[in-house]
Parts: sequence; structure tokens; C-alpha cells
Amino acid sequence: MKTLIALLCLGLIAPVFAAPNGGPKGEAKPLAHVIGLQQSGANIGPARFVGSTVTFVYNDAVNNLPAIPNVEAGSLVQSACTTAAQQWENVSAISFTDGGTVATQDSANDGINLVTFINSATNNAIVGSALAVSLVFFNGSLEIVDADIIFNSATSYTTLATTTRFDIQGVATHEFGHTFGLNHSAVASATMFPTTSAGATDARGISVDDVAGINGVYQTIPNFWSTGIVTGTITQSGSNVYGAHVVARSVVDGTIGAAAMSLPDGTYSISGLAPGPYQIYVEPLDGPVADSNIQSSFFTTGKNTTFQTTFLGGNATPTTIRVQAATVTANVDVSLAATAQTVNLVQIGDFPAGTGSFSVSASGFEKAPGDTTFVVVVGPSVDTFADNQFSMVGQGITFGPASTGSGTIGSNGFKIFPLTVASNAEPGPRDIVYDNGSEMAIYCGVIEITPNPAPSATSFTFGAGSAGTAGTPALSAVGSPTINNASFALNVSNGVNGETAFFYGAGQPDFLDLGNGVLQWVSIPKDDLFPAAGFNATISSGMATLPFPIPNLPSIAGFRIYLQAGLSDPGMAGGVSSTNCLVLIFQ
Amino acid sequence: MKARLFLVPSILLALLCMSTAVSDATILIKKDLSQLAAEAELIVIAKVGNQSARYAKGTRVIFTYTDLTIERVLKGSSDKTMTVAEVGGKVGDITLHVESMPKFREGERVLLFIKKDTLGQQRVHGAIQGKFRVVHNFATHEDLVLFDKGLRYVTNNFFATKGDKSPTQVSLSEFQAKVLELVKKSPKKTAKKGGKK
Ligand SMILES: [Zn+2]
Repeated sequence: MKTLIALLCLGLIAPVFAAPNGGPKGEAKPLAHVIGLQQSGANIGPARFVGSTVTFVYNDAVNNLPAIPNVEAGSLVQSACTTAAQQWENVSAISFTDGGTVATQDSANDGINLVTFINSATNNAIVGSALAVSLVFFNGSLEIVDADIIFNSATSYTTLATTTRFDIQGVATHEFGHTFGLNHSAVASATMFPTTSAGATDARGISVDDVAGINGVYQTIPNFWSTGIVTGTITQSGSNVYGAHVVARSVVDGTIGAAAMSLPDGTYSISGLAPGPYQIYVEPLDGPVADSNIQSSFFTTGKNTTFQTTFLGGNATPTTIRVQAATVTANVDVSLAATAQTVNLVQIGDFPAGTGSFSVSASGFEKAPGDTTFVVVVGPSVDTFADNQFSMVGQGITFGPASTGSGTIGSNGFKIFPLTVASNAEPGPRDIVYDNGSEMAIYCGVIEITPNPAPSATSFTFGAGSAGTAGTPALSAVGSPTINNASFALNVSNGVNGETAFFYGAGQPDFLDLGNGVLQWVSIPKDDLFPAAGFNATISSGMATLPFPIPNLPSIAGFRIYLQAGLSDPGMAGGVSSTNCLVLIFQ
Repeated sequence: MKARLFLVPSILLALLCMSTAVSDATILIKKDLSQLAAEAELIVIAKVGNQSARYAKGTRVIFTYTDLTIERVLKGSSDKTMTVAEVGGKVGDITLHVESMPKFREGERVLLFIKKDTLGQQRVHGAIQGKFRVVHNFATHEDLVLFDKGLRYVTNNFFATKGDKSPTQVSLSEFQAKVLELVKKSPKKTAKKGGKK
């Protein structure tokens, strides 16, 4: 079928070099949170600072540490806190000002946005059993009139990464997130995840997972135009499900794209998604994030947690959905069976030595490309589960397959699995999954892969091709997409001899079901229309190779293109077969 | 060089369990049931009544005051009615929101671990960790204590005897018995030293 071929061939490779629209990853990969919806009268929404500008001041003891003996001597408290706030400023429309120090000691609705460590009756009564709390006073228009952060004067703090003390910057980043309008996240590597550990500095910088949350509150125009939104309704036996954790996982690399919680009417909205193909899953807030962790003047307890982790389209063959920039993908509805989850993953441990003792906690951790470690997975009866039922999701990850140890911790079991993070592993939060075929438990975004500070040129593939007469064609790279590599080429296998392979590419992934099993994985904007001549090759010995010299343009470093090939195949309905997607990242 | 694929000697596995309590604190300072029982000055089963919010005396901080009708006292002593304070609430046009603080609904039945705060107000101890909902199962005519599935660590090690290693509810009678046992076991305050002979 000629029309199908034509559709597949609309793409163009050359203009992608000239006008890359997908920047280096990490800046264009926002993820979402539970936005802290509040209610005052009929108004429902996040409480915000007026005009997005906000000044915080510090009680002057931050520069007189003997006055706050719970803080380790030598700590730089004020700069740690301001750096924490700037994490949010850097990725959103918020404009933060460090207003210096004041003598004010107590949190109060006094128009002064205060950070205080002072041991006083008022502060202690508020902070109670928390490491730190944030107070947000807002008016009937949901405008914040005062916000304060109190650090518990009975908790040992530091900015010096002392392992027995809590990290001021990490806790401050979390608390500023609350004052800027975010509730807790069930993505375990997120800064807004409600637990942290002594000595943990992972929460210092905000996770890519925190970016969309803040942009959901303080929208920035570039973020709106470059990302998409998925909306839908979660139901169970015809009733709306409140409090389901709805997660969008990228089909490209397995990273968590964004997440949201369903509202009392069952609806959800996941914003800040980078364009591309996603799978959607729904999981109960059955720990480590608690129903009671997500409360506000709008959110109540009593969220529905009586269902099992369920993918859109079913756990065996999840449906892929298309997310486009500045577009709402609506009616992505999931209906849940009224069967309670019986398996659960509740704690995780990073155990680089693999021998000796380890510690575990509910919150996730970070790993860098090139790292190897052992991962301790903890949950009820986990020690009795088969190794091959555990996996870690996505590109650039080698997890297991065999465990290297198991045992019990209190009422939970654990298993230890080796993990290798490839040097080209894409950054972002990754899931650890337990799947026994009848039930699935997902530890959402529990290990966050950090961006490689010294990336090299690389390629990887994702997405299914469609079967042709000679098998399912595969598209692969010949060589490395290094800048100025004149011998780089693209190769297609499993084609029909004498037929033609048409290559097309774009700066972003996409997803379209073109019928007859043919899936389009690359975004082909109209502006990139280009005659297919020069981007096709004749198939012989089942293969077609297209020379694809990488230009000597240093400016393309870090950019990526998404490539696919369509193959004419008279033996197939539609006259075509198609390949997987090949991602090239130039350096 | 990175270490790879060391097998964990099985002897060490036994030791591993001991080291696991080290971290895993939360933004809330973790309290399990025995800590709640030991630290609370008052443990009650109560029914939630009226709520009103105001600025706490001597502060510019909004608290919500919830009236309780006491059904049973498991620790300490209380009148038939009392009031617990929680930070947050709405006064006039202004709402104060603070994360992870327990909230009450009128008519709800609760089991609470309570301790006076530094302003002299009765407060739920351990924030959301110290509040349990009590519901009646009309089929079995049994009162049940519901656990928040996300706060399993509070109760996990105390009700793991019946096959289910982390139940999300137990009968009120079983829960009461466990709390009373933990209260009894908890170290006595040393304040009354030298009292009786
Ligand atoms: Zn929090």
C-alpha cells in the first residue's frame, strides 16, 4: 500500500541536525507529583505565592550555631537552605530571594516567611514528631500570605554530610517544596517522597521527578509548550476511585515520566510529560506512601487502596498511549478489579559492597551511569519469591537475574540482586517490579539514574517492529554516532530481497498505530517533510545499509534523534513492515 | 574498580538483620506502637465531636480544637470529655496547612495516643502515626482498628502472629490488649523517685 509507505517516509534526517528540538535529557524530562490541592470555600487549587515571587528570611541563629546546638558546628545553614530553595527556582517560574537574617524566632502568621531552628514553646508545639515542618497560611483566593519552615530543635542536623545527622539541605528542599505548593510524591526517589534517612543527601537536589510538580503549580510557558498532559478517570465496579497513584512510564527508556493521584471524583491529570510513547499504571497508596501522608484542606483520608497494581490495557499486554507537546491525551481511563493487593515492596537498600551489613529504608536512592551495586528488596515474604519474578525496568539496566542472598528483616523478607547501570543509561527514576503472573507490585521510581556528567556518543533501541515476510525487521547502528564519524551507518535486517527500506527520523519519539501491526515511533512534524530520495536503500541478503555520516558539528553534542525504517513487503497486508526505533545520542 | 557479584556469605545474612534499623527515619520521626505506648501520657478510645479553629493563645499559629467523648482510657486519666489540638485549620479568611498532621471528622471513632505539647495543649503523639480509626463490622459485630497501609512500620511487629505478616486491621480487643501490654512493659517515669517506701 503506497499511502502507508508514504506516511512512514515523511520524516527527514538532515533538518534534525539543524534544528534539534529535544535538548539534552535531564532538562526536558519533567515529572509530576501530587500537587497540594487546597480548598477555601468554593476555591480549589494549589496555594501559591502571589506573583510567583517569594522572599524567605532566616532566624539569626543560623549564623550563631552555639544558639542551635542540634546543628553540627561548621554547618553553613543559610546557604544550604537558600540553595535548596534555588533548586525549585531553577526549574519553575518561582523567583526566590534570600532576605537575610532576622531576630524573629517563632513561626507565626506575621507576613514574614521564616526559616527557624529555634527551640521555643511555639515552634516545638508545631513541629512535634516531625524532623521539620512547613506551615502555609493562605487566604480565600488560595494566595499564600505567610509560609514558615521549622526544623525540629531536637533533631541532629548538619550540612556536612555526617552520616548520623539529617541533611539540612535535603530536608529544606523537601519543605520548600511544600511551601511552594507540592504534596507528597509516591515516586520513591523524589524529593517530595515523605521519608528520608540520616546521612542521606539524595534529596539535596530536586529529582527530575519533582520538576513537573512545581510546574503544575507555577506554570512556565516553555514547559507548557514542550510537554503534554494525560487525563482520565479511575473506576472500580462503576464507582470512582479516590487516591489511586497513576503513573506514566516511558516506553522509550522505562523511566517514570510523571505521576499523579486520582481526585475524589476519580479523575486524574498527569502533566509535564515529555512527548513520546507511555504506558500507564495504577497502584494503591499502600505504602511506603500513606493515605494519611497526603492530606490537606482538600484531600481527606479514606483513599481507596483496595485494588491491585493495574496497567492500562492489562498487565500482560499494556496499552501504549501517545503524548504530544501542548496537547491533552484525554479519556485514558482505567477500571480496577476490587481485589486487594497482597504483595508489596516496602523498603530498598543500596548495598555496594554486597557483603557485610546493609541498611534499608523506604525512600529510594540514586545511581550514576557506570555504577554497580547490589539492591536489597524488602517486603512481606519477598525472601520466598522466585528470583525471576523480580526486575528493574528500562534501558541500560542489568538487574539480577539471580539473587545473591535472602533473609528476613522483622516481619518482612528480603532478596539481594546485583545491579549494573550502563554508562549510557538514560537518567530518570526507574521501577523495581515484582510480577508473579497473577499479581504485580511496583516500587515506583525507587532508583533514580542520574545524568552522566561525561556522556559519550551512544545508541539504543526501543519499541516493537511489525512482522514482515522475512521476519520482524530490526534497525541498528553500525558504529558510534560520534561527531565527525564519517563511516557511521544504519542497518536494517530481516527485509525481503529486492524491496526497499525507507529511513525516517525526528528529534522526538512519538507513537501512532498505523494499522496492520505497524507502529510509528518517531515524531515527524510537517515542517520536516522531505522527499524520501536519499534516505532509502535496496534490500539484499535480507539487509539494507544506509551510510549516515555524522557531520562535524560540535553544536549537536548531546542532541538525539529517533530513527525508524519502513520496508516495502508485498507479502504483507498493507504492503509494509516496520522496525523498532533506534535512538542516537551525539557526542 | 567496582566490586561485582560477590556472593553474600550466608553467615553474614543473620547479621544483616541487625543493621537495618539504622536508617529509615521519615520526615516524621518514626514511632512504632511500643514507642507510642511508652511516650503517650494518655491513650483513649473516643468519639470525635465538634471542631473549631483559633490562634493558639500567645501565638499567631492556627490550631484546630476537636472535642472528644471518651469511651475508654487505656493509659493515664481523663474526664468524660476532652479536647485535642492539631496545628492547622481555618480562621476567618485564612487557612493554615501543615503536612502530615492528623485530621478528624465529626462522628469518627478513634484510638489516640496523646501527649501534652510545649504550649500545654493535648496533642496526638507522633502526628499521623498516633491516630487510629475504629470501625464496627456489622457482619461480625466486631470493632476493628484500621491501620494506614502506608504506616505499616507502626504496627508491623506487633500483630504478625496470625499468618498475615502485616495485617491492615485487627480487632479492637486484640489491639487494646497489645497496647495495655506495651504500656505495662514500658519503662516507668523516674519523676516519682523517693515517693513511697
Ligand atoms: Zn513532607
